[in-house]
Amino acid sequence: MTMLEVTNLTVRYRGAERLAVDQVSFTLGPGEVLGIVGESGSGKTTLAMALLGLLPPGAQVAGSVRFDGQDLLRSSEKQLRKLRGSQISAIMQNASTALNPSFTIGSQLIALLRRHRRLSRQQARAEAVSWLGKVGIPAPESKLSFYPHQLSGGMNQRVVIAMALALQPRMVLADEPTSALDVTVQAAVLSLLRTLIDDSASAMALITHDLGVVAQMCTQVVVMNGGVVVESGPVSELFVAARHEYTRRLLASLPGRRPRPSSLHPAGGST
Amino acid sequence: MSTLQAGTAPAAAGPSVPRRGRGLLRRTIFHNATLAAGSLLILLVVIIAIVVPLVSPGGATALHPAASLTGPSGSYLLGTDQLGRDLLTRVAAGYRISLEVSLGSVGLALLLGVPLGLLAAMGPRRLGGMIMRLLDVLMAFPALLLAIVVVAMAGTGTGVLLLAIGIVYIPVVARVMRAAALNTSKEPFVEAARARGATFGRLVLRHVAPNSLGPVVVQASILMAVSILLEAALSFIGLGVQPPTPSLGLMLSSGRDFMASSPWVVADPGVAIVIVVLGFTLIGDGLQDWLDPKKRVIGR
Repeated sequence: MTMLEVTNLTVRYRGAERLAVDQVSFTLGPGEVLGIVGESGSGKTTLAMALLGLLPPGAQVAGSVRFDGQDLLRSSEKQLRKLRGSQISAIMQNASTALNPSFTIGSQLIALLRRHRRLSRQQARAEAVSWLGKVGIPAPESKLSFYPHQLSGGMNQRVVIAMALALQPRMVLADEPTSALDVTVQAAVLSLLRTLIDDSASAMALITHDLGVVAQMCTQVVVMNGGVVVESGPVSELFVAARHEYTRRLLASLPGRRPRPSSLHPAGGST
Repeated sequence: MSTLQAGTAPAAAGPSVPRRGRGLLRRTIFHNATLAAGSLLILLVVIIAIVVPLVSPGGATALHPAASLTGPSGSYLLGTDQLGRDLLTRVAAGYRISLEVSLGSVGLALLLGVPLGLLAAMGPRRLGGMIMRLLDVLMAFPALLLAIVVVAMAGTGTGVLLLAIGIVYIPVVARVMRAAALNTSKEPFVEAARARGATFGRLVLRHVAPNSLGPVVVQASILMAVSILLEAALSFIGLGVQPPTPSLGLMLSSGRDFMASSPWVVADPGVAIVIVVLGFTLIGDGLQDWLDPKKRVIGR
């Protein structure tokens, strides 16, 4: 059973020669975690924005993106707004700038809960505290009155994850959720995300340039280069026997997989 | 160094509530001398404007012909004018008018300029363009000339003065607001809010507007200073407050003839204007430093 079905999705920005995303197709079912891998400029973020219907006004889009049978590319802004947050949610790249600096994290989380669900102030507050606890924020009750700038990047990223999951969406889009964090915090945030996804049986599309993250998190993987999907399939197969030359070079450029102190191997894709 | 530690201590202590209130006030005064000096000057002006008329016998229009043009002394602290009116009382009454007009006009400019600027930044492109072109036309007129036109059409009086100066500053506020809102709307948290299904109105009012008001507050403080000058100028040329109501500009203009023999007649209102304008300008500068994260000594 598929939840998300992307068929021949193509995006071109106004004035650009090259297609940002070229004929991309994949499917995603409940409980699956799809890794979308590629280096900077390979069209990963454009793909994510297209899935949310948040492409800038000048972008031309073709193909189809079906979520539970509804074509997101042909839905009105109002229909999309109903899906965003409650059915499909997103975790943005840089947590510290993804939170509104003028309001406390408590007020942002409570407002989100109350907007999508019928909750009293006390109920929403209790729910917010429980979510902050679930994402591993110590003393969550007292953190409600903190502003984003009073928390560390790792804590902010947890708040962002709590906001993305609080409405129990069926699909989560995570765009480099850990790239702004240092390595130890990264591992903690990722395993937390994995646990939460497993618990709720939702699906996740994880955009990253880090194959290590893919190995840790994902069941399926799509490798992109220059807007085109060069390889896709289950993660286990990709790591054992990559078919495409670009994927093999991506794998070879991973540090520590095959120790070759004499040479570095940039993947050298066409971007 | 000690203040730096004071600022970081609550975060390290964990679950304690972030420090605000008195601590913020104290840090602000110590680290932002400009803001503190400006605030003190304006506090002085407000006290003069409130207290002096209460304790002064006879008020600002009481005549003491026997004591006309006497210099500053024990009974007349700032001296008297050609009709023997107490200049301290008149300066205080003039301050009242100045503050009324500047608060009212800047308030009016904010009330209309902020929504217009927001609409120009966030609304449909065509509507935004139209708003800005209209405001450009308004802005092309010199401020004093535009105010004179309004006064000429609507007559004199404090209310008209307030309206005239307010209209002049609408485009100034709107442009600052628009620029700030355009910047804020590109912030990731605005896009994140859209991705969570926020409506357009919510995006504008909760995410863009509150994070764009800083520069507008600075501008408003500077406009307070400029509008006091503009009020004085209009009153000076006879298009503002009408005699016998005291106004700083009017006092300057009627005192001109006695400037050589009794310099305090023009020095008093002149210095009074300098104090209040300097006060608001310093507050504006101080706020700018305070809101600029790069210059903030201990921001968080």
